[in-house]
Amino acid sequence: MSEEYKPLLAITMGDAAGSGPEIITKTLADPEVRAVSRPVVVGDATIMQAALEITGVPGEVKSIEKISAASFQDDIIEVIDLRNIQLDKLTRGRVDPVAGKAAYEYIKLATEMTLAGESDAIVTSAINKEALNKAGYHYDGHTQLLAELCGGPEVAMMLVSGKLRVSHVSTHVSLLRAIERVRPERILTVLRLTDEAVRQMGVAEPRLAVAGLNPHSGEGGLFGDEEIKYITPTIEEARRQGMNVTGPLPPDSVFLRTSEGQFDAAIAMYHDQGHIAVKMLGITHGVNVTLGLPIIRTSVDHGTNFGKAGKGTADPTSLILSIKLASVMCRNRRRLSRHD
Amino acid sequence: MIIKDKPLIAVTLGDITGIGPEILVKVVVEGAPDNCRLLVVGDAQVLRSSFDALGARFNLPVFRSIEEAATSNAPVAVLDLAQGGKELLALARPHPEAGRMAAEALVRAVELAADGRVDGVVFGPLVKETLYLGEKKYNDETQILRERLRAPEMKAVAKIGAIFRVTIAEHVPLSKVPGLITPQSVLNAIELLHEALLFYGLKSPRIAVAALNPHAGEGGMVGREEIDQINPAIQAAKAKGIDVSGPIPADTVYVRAFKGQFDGVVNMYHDQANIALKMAGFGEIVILFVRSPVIITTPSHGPAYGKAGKGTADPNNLRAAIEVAASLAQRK
Repeated sequence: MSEEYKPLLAITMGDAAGSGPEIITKTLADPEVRAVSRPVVVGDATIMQAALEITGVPGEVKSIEKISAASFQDDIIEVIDLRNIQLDKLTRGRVDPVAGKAAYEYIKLATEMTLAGESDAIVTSAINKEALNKAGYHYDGHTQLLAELCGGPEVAMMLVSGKLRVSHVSTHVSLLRAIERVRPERILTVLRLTDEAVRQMGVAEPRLAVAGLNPHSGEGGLFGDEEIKYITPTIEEARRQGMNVTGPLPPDSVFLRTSEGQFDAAIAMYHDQGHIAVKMLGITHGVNVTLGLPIIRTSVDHGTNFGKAGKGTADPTSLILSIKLASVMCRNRRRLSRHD
Repeated sequence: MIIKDKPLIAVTLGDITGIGPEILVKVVVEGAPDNCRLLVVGDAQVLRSSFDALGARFNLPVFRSIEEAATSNAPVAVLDLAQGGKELLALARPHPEAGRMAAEALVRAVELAADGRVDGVVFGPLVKETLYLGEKKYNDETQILRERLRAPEMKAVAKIGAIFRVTIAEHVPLSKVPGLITPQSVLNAIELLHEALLFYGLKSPRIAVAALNPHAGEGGMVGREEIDQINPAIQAAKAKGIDVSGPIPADTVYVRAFKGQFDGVVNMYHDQANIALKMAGFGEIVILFVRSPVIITTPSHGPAYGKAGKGTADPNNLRAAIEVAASLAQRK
């Protein structure tokens, strides 16, 4: 059999004032990244060149117009160059609307390229929400922006950290709103998206666990009835549809059990339920995956890290993991679609 | 060696249909904490049977009165309440008679403490549904303790590893939690935690207050409770001289606490704390009672009926509860 397919990945440069460009130079110098993918950066070539000088990573930056012009040599960072940042006007480590606007443009182009099939997936670096907002783009983050660029599908956020995969019924809403989102239709969508994503991550028969909303999963209605009214009927429906689903399980044990390998993914009912578990796992680096888009998208799970910008010390692990995961998902998507 | 200088801690078996007797036997057999002496308060026959069940030899001195027991300098002695109930041992389900026995032993132990006969009390795991004293049913052990010790302000605080924790809205539906977060309830929790930390001997405790909403509300974008309810309480606590930080996003507050940045955390709701603690692998959680005239602690877990009689129960929480009570008693 020939060598496995190496997906074409559009990697957005993120906020130029942050540590994203430096992280990319380190990431693309990783032989494992080059072994599993064909990456191009969607960004600004002068900024990437400057980042290369800061980190001292050997190699060179090459500006290209289209992904079809890329050669994918290991020591060349190929950049689809939007020329939208002036290096001499950039102050690293500070919120800059110009960098915010530029970051928006990288995401937009990378998404369009991927939607058009020119690249297989998009892998995003950190953006600064304030810079994005100051540039006039009022999104609460990547996910909302990507959903809009893709025509507004229903999306869900999954965090991947070690063996723990957690999808969220809701993310950036108040706790009160989050509780209102715990309804059968939404839970079923998140289950379906999670089942599909976990298959793309290489699990043939995903075992999914659903967290309860209330303490002790409501303890038979004593501490809340959302489990009885909404969650349990949804789990039964998902089983009728052929999914392997367990729950609702007490929120304070479901994530631990999933991280120990008893399940392939867990569904969190609200942002902090899943995020507390992931952060307490003690694994420093994880990946953020957007489910429900027509394209595969993974992302670093950290911010722009302004404090380290320009110092060459930022850690590339999360971006490396994001690329590897995107690559696995692209390959399995091809394989699964051929079996259909 | 002047063994009598060590504080004497009364220990009860808890609900004997659960794992309480088994874990106490294990603590005794494996070696009780050496900063105290123990006085087991309960039925001697039940205790003897528990030793037998684990294949351990029962050789503890048994006394029928506290006056006799006071003459002993054994590291572990038994005050026999002669309650009977051997047939209930490890029954693995709630039983009203076992609940009565547990409540009676608890009351006897705290009365000994109130009379200065023992230096502290550790009670074994109980369940609320069988907490009877005679025919009177109690909601929980705190109600019994408050009534018997005439300490209406008494409250339970959890100690997890080195971190103390107070939760504002614990066993309520999540949808009811936001309504329970008020400047007063948050301030009360901060003050309770501060008091517990001082009681435990910390000189200048550092307290963190968890947020309610993701990202601590992000400046009001995803919830206003941080601005309207939590922050005023934090400011009020600071004005009283308490070292308090927050509101801190719930997904980082325990990461920071376990790094040693805080001594105590005020949580808004049950799972905010419990998810973090389970993920961190913290088995040893001790409940200690503050605003109490006597030292009282208990392990955080229940009678674990599913494990009763199997010999597999973990005694470490009980041992930790004894250690905490003993170190509090030594400080007094």
